Amino acid sequence: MAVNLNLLPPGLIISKSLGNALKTTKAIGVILTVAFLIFSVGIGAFYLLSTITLKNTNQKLSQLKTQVLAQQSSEQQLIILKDRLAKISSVKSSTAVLKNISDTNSLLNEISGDSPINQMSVETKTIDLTINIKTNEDLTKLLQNAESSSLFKSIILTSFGYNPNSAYVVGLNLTK
Amino acid sequence: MNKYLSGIPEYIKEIVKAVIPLVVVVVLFLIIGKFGISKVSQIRGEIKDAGQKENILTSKLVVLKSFSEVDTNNLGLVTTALPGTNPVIILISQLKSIAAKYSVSLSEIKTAGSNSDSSSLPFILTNFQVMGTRSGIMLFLADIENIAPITQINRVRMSENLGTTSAEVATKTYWAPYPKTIPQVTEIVTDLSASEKKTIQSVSELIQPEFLNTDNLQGSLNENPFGQ
Repeated sequence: MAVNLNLLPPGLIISKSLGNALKTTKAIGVILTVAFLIFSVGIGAFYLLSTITLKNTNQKLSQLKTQVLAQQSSEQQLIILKDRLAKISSVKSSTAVLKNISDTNSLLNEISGDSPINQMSVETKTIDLTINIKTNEDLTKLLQNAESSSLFKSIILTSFGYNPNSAYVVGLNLTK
Repeated sequence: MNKYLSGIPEYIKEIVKAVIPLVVVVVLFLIIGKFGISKVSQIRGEIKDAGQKENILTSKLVVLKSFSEVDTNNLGLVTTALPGTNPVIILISQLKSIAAKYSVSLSEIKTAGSNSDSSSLPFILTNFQVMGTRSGIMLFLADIENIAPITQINRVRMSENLGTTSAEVATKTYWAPYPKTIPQVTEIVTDLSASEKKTIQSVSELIQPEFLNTDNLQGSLNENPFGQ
C-alpha cells in the first residue's frame, strides 16, 4: 500500500490554500509583465511614428510658409482691398438730401419758369422752401401737388403773402 | 543577515517572492503608462495643430495665387473711392470737372478736416457756391454723390433770381488711413465675398478723377534770345 510521506520540516510546510493563492499571484504577475512589455513596445512605436508624422507635417508647413511669404505682395493688396471695402460699406449710402431735393422738385411739377424759387434749404430731415408764384394757375398747381404728395411726413404752409412785385410768396416747411 | 532571514517563516518568504514582482510590474505600468500616454497625447495634439495650420496655409496660398490683375485694378478703384490720405485736392478737381460738364460755375470753395462721425472714419467738410440753371445745378448735385472719393451732400441752400439759380452746398468726403499691419502668416485669408464683389461693382460706377500724365516737354533753343 502506497503511503504519502511529507518529509518537509514543519516550518517549511505551506498550506494548500496559500499555495494556490501564490500560484495565482505568480501567474497574474507573469501575465502583467507580458502585457507591460507589449504596452511599452506599442506605445514606443506609436510615439516614434507620431514623431515622424509631426516632422513630415512641419516640413510641409515650412514649405507652405515660404510659398505664402513669396506671395506677400498679393496678400498686402488683398488686405488693403478688404479693408477699403469694409469701410466703404459703412459709408457708401447716399444721404437723404439728394432724394429730398428730388422729392421737392416733384411739388414744383408743371409750375412755370416764371415762378422762381426764392429760397430752398434742404437738409436730411427738413426742407424749407419759399417760392414766388406769379400766376393763379401756378399757385393752384403748387397747392394741389402739396395736398396730393405722399413723399413727406408733413407739409406745413409757414407763410403766405402777396405783393404786387413778386405776386404770391409761399413758404413751405416739409419734413421727412 | 542570513540569521535574520533564516528566522523569517517560509510562507512569508514565498508570499514576498510572489507579490513583489507583481507590485513592481503594476508600479511600472502606472508610471510608464502615465508618462507614455501624456507624451503621445502631446505629440498628437501638435500633429493636429500642424495639420490645421497646413490646411489654412494651403487655402491661403490658393486665394493669394488667384489674386489677379483684375483685383489689382479693383484695388485702384477702391483706394480712389476711399483714399488713405486727405483727398481735398482730388475732391476739388472732381467738383470743378463736373461743374464744367454741366456748365455751372463754382466758387467760394472752403474745406475743413474733421475727426469722425458715427462711421468712425475721418472726413473733410466742404462748402462751396454753385451758380447756373436750375436743371444744371440739379444734375451737378446728383453727380456729386457719384464721384470718387465718396462724397455725401449734407445741406443745400438754393435761391433763384432773374432765371439764374445759385446754391450753397455743404458736403462730406470720407477717407481712412491704410492698415499698418498685415495678419500673421498662419492667419486665414478668404477670397472676396459676394457682398464685397457687389461693393466693388458699385465703386466701379463712380466717376473717377482724371489723372493726366504729361510727357516731358522737349525744349528748343531760342536762336535769337535778345530779339535782335
